[in-house]
Amino acid sequence: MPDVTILPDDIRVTAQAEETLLRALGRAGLRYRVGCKRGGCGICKVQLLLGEVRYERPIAASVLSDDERVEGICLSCRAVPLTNVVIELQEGDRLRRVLGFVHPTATAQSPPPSRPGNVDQPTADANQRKGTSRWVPPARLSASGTSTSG
Amino acid sequence: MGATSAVIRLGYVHLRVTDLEEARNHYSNTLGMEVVHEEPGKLWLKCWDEWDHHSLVLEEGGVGLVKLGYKVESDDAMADFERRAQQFGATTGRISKGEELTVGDGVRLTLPSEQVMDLYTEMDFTGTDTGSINPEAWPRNVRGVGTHWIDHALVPAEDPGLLERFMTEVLDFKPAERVVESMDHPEVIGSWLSCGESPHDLAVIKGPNGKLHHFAYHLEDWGAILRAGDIFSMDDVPIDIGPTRHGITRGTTIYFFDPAGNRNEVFAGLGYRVQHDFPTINWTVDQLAKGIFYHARELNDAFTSVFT
Repeated sequence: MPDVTILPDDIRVTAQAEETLLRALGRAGLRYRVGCKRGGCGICKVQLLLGEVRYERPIAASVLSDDERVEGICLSCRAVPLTNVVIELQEGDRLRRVLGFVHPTATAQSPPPSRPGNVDQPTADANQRKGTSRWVPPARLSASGTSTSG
Repeated sequence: MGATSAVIRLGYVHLRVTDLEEARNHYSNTLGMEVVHEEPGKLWLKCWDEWDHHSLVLEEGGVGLVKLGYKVESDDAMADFERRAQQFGATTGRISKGEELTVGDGVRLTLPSEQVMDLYTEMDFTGTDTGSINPEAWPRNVRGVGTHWIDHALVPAEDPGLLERFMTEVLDFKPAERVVESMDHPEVIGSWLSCGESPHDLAVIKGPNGKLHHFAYHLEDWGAILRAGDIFSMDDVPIDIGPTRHGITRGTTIYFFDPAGNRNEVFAGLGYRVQHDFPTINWTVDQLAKGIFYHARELNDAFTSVFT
């Protein structure tokens, strides 16, 4: 099952089969800015930095344009990860935890301990983490940091 | 502010949906409307308590509002509205009988906020499910929420004051309530406009032109709103907010989304009657959140950002 890593928080969750990005994050108690949750408004767009997603339902071009798709912007309420993916929330948005009480030691800087099918905690020191450069190319990151999601 | 308008009601909503079969399931099974006609890529539906042929047209492809249809008392009144709309500077057009299924000749207005509004005087009469002779209180076979009728729509406008002026000067609507910057600077942020005695038949709030914020179904009471919320959980319908109450109109409410992301509302409680001498209620923008969501007293992100 594909892993979904959310930047800049650097939190990883595991998506179940056929599960959208929104559902996978929601199941792990992670909240961010969303709208209709049905692909109609575009509020929940995120930047796809690495990996592939697919859409099981038609998405209106007025909501997600071809240009946006090329730029790697994806509609998180409809996008189902095909591979491990790395996403970044829109500028001005932030990840909020609503299951913090389940993991009393967790803080925003220290994600909750690993649980199968739930939140998976990367090692504390990103520099020591194997494969960091593979799935978060710094050049790509800096480029995405200045892009807008429309 | 004088007599009731010759506009009777919001008669139909024409919407785009991304997947017609998902939309059919939502509007027919979850909300309880009846599919009264269908063609490839298009459905016509009505609620059990409505007597005209249909109140909702769903068209596959894209998302959002195609147009709103308002029923008018007479052809003379409709011609007068057309003339006054032209004087106001609005674009108008004619619709021939049958161009809209079972609908007679009509007038098409483009509102100052770019939404399309059709006026018409005739639609085939098919009757309510309980009939007009010794009716039962409600039909036993109604599905899901069992919505009674489409009640009103809320549209965004870059200049809500201009749309309020159009609706009052051209179509004789009356603002039952409005949100203004402050009582000293009464720039209109939102307006709840009535053509009869209901608190709103069309409402407007500041936002992008040409879009839909929501359209609403009437339910009987607060108990029916709670039951609707239960059904939304059973059917995994995303709820935007509620069950709660609006300060503005005093209505009880749930906002929720159809499978394409168009916002719907179930709305109950005729909080008051907008009689001819009803004094328009003003809310100052610092109290807007309480006006919209009377209990939470704060707006959620989606309220001011999700339009289709």
